[in-house]
Amino acid sequence: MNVMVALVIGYLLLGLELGIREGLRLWPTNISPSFVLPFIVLVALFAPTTPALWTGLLLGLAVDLSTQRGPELTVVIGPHALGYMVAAYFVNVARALVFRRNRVTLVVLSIFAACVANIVALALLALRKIIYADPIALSTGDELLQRFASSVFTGLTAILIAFAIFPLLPALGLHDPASRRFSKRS
Amino acid sequence: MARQLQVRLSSRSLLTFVVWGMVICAIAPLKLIGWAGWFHNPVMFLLAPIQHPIRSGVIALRGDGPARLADPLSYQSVDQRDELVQQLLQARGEISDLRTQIRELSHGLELNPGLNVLQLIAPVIGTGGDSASGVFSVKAGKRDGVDAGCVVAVRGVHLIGRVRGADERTAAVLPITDKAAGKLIGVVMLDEQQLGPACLLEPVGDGTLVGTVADSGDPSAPSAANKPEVGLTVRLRDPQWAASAQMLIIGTIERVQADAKQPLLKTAIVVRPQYQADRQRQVIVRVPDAAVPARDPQTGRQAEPRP
Repeated sequence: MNVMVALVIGYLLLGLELGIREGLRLWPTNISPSFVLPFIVLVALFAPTTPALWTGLLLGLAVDLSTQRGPELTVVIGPHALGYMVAAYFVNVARALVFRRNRVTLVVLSIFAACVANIVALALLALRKIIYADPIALSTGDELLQRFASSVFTGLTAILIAFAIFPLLPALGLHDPASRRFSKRS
Repeated sequence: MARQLQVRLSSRSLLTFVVWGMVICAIAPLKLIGWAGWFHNPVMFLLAPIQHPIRSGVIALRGDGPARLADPLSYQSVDQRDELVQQLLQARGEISDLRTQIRELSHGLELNPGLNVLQLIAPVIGTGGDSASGVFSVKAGKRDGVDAGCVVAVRGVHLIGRVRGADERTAAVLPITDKAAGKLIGVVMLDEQQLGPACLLEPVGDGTLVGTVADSGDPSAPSAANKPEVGLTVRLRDPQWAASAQMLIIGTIERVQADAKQPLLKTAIVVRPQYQADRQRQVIVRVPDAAVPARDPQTGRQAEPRP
């Protein structure tokens, strides 16, 4: 896997997500799609386990570092980093059961992966609420529903990502082992 | 082969180490993870060149609030009228406060000589990665005089939030509709100038503020006329906010309902701000300006600049 290309694409998608999200947000809720998660799903579908986990972790870390919470503008490292990493692991395990090259796979797995990532992130933030009664904590019930809806919305952006990034798979150094199994060796 | 295995093993063990570190950071007390804030600005600095132009384009396509009037001059007049009404109400509030001070203080000497506010137009950079947090950044910082506590408005008089932290070039704003912003005291305006009952408003997380209505601010008004109604404006009158924020518009009453805790005795109102914080291309940061010459409260003339 070409780490530099993956980082550049991840950076571009995160910038795109932060810029466009407010335009796509279903006002007045916080329901909005993610552009980064479908990319993590794509990497986890084709890359070996460890690079896939690193990709999820680093992009989740970027999301955490870009978010200030509460009246003290606290930056909490971990919720999204761990959430995205667990989502990458989930996809990495589930890929044996799916047709990787099918774009619908990316869409469906993006929805499930977003649910997994959001559950992990929210669970960690809720844990803070239980332990410290943090001012940065969220109202878990409402937030969970909104995040599930955001996960479904992420499925729509995954369609765009699928068409835009599938052609870049060779540049990313990602290959489908199933397609190579019966091909000629050069 | 052996070297490849070694690299893979070290990468995995590093990953395990980082994951445990993040688990600890995620559940550590706030005072132990304050250092993470240092990385926020570099990350936003890297993301801003992509985020800001895209965001500006999206807002230009979609619009940033209620529909504009066809004639730009009419629009300007409405803005000016709103601002003058806010200044009038603010002045009245100050007069009332000063009278109280004169009554209460035997000396009666320490009076507020005037209020100087510099209004700074600041482009909005955007929010962070997690949509649950309403904090957004604006392109104005300490070098422009912006610091924690500065009031942020839009269209001059519509209150958006308060600056909670600033560095040299940017400032982080916590909107009044964010749950973390806490309660604020408002006053229901019965018409453009008549103060109605006070209310203690609390953000609920869906872009509105909900609060119980207290007794009328104007004791001479009949009680029937003091009831809040849908469509009335609510303005800020909270001593915990800066003087420059007083009488800024919080929003309009969207719903009047029975109070959840005392349904028979109290009335609650749902207030929705006219402008959403995260939908603005630019905001106005009201900076208390010590350098601006103060106006003499008696003559109305500009006083000499302070040394």
